[in-house]
Amino acid sequence: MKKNVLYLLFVISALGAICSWVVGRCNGIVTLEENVETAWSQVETQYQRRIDLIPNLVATVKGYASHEKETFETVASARAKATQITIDPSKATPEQLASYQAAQGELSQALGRLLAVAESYPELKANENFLQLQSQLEGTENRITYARDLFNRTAQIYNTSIRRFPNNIVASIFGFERKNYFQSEQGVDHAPQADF
Amino acid sequence: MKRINSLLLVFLCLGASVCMRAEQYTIESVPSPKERGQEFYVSNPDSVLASETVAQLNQLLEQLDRTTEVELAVVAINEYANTYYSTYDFALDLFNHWGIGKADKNTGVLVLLAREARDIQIITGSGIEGILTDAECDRAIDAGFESLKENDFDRGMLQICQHLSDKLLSDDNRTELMFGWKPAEPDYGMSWAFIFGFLLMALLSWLAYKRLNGKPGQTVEDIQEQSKDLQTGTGCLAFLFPLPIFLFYLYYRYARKHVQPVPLNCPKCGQLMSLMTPELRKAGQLTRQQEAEERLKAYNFTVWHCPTCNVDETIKRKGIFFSRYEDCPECHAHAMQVTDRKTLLEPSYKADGKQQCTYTCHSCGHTMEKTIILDRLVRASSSSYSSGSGRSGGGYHSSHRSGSFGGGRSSGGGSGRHF
Repeated sequence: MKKNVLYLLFVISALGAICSWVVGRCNGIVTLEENVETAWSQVETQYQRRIDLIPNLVATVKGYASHEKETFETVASARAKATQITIDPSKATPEQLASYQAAQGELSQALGRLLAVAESYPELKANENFLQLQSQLEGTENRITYARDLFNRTAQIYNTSIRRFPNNIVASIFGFERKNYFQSEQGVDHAPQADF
Repeated sequence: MKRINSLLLVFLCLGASVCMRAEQYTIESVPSPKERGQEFYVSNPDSVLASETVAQLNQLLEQLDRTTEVELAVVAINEYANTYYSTYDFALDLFNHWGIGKADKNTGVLVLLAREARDIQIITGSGIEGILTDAECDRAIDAGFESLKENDFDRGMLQICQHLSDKLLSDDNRTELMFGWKPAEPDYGMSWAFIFGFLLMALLSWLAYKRLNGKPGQTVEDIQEQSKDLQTGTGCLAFLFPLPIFLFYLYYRYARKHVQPVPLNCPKCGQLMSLMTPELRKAGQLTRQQEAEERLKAYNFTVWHCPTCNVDETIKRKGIFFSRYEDCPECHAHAMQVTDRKTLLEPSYKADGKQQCTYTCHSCGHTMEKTIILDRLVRASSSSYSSGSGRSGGGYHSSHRSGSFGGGRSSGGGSGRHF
């Protein structure tokens, strides 16, 4: 009778060991998933930083090249579009991610055109404020690249982790899903060139 | 003609000597400043920079590393190998070869000066590009450009590094650099602790189950005896996970106290046999020798009796004093013991001693005498001395030669038997 209690204790302890292992693995995957979400928020922060820079830049350029209306409009509409789209990377489908990227890519291209316009105005090119903004824009583009790279790296670590044995068993039980990567796209990762 | 030849020779020698003196560096051959120590950041193998400048730069850059975790490496060389397409290629390769900057943040900067090519190149790590943009690096070079142009490399490099350092040390940038986010590593420590704890409990309960599960024929005493070690062991392990193991210990102790004997089945009728405790035993269930052995605690006997078939099953188990006795050559009971010792010859440092032992059997009363050799004395530690004198154990010649005795023995077959 007492021996049976011990046998039961053995079975419970063995199950407890298995459960703690599963919980540990699960928590590990959650940590990695959190990393991906934080990395995503870094990407968004940097994109937002770029969006915040635009009004100043446009205002400065306008002071010297007020009749380049078309360019300003393109920038304004691209900015509005990029501001509207926000996505949650944990639920984003590849299509949503692609449309987000496309909107940001459009903004990059519009900014590139804006800076190209500035090339033909020597006074603007010499303006200290403009140079400052241009450098800040470049820095932000660099930060975006780095943040996107970091996002892809953390997503890759997460994806590898949930596909590897034995984590894949735990991941399939608890429904952890693969994260999509940022695809390198034509125009998206083209930072405006600052030419001195 | 001859003059031209000799002039040519002079030029050749001159050229050769220049080549010997100034190495063309590859990324592997540039000496890393970290080879000299963690507080060095400047590699200046050709003495392009004055030693005071190098010291000044090291100081500045160490300060920068400490406050912003940015590793800024300065390299000043005469020339790099012509296998590199440009100074940029060389500098980028060198940056990645050395791995400048903290690995998880990629905050490294390389400032490279190539004197022959008259090139200055700044390479930034990917994590720092937001702050040190290409435009900003260009401005840094602007800061030292005039000096470099006038061949004042010391001043030029100081100005460039100072500019970069000032930029990185501004409040906003320092915050960004120091408190930048980095991915967290999953921590499995806690789960391993739980797994270990549960596995330990599983092991303990399995062992307990095995221990308390007696085999047929085992009495309460038998089971308690075989389960004693785990109780002590569990008590010792309690420091690992005090509460669960202590509770387990209490339960185990309780269960041990209340174990049941496991009766044998009768070989004839198959029914359970009953245990004959020493009080219940009838005469003749144990032989005289067995009774003597049990009395001396050389063996324990468990007698199971089937009342219907009148069959006995006796289980023999070594007792606590088993090793104190020897087998009697007469009645074969394990009950013979040394009862008297007579020293015939005291052992000395030169020769072995002799001792006559009288053995008596506690079962049949048979006596016999044996002469044993006492090992000669050895001048060593006190323990081997006392053992060597043979006062306590006696023992036979051959079985007594253990590794702890160093001295060789002269007489071979000294032992004899006398009855």
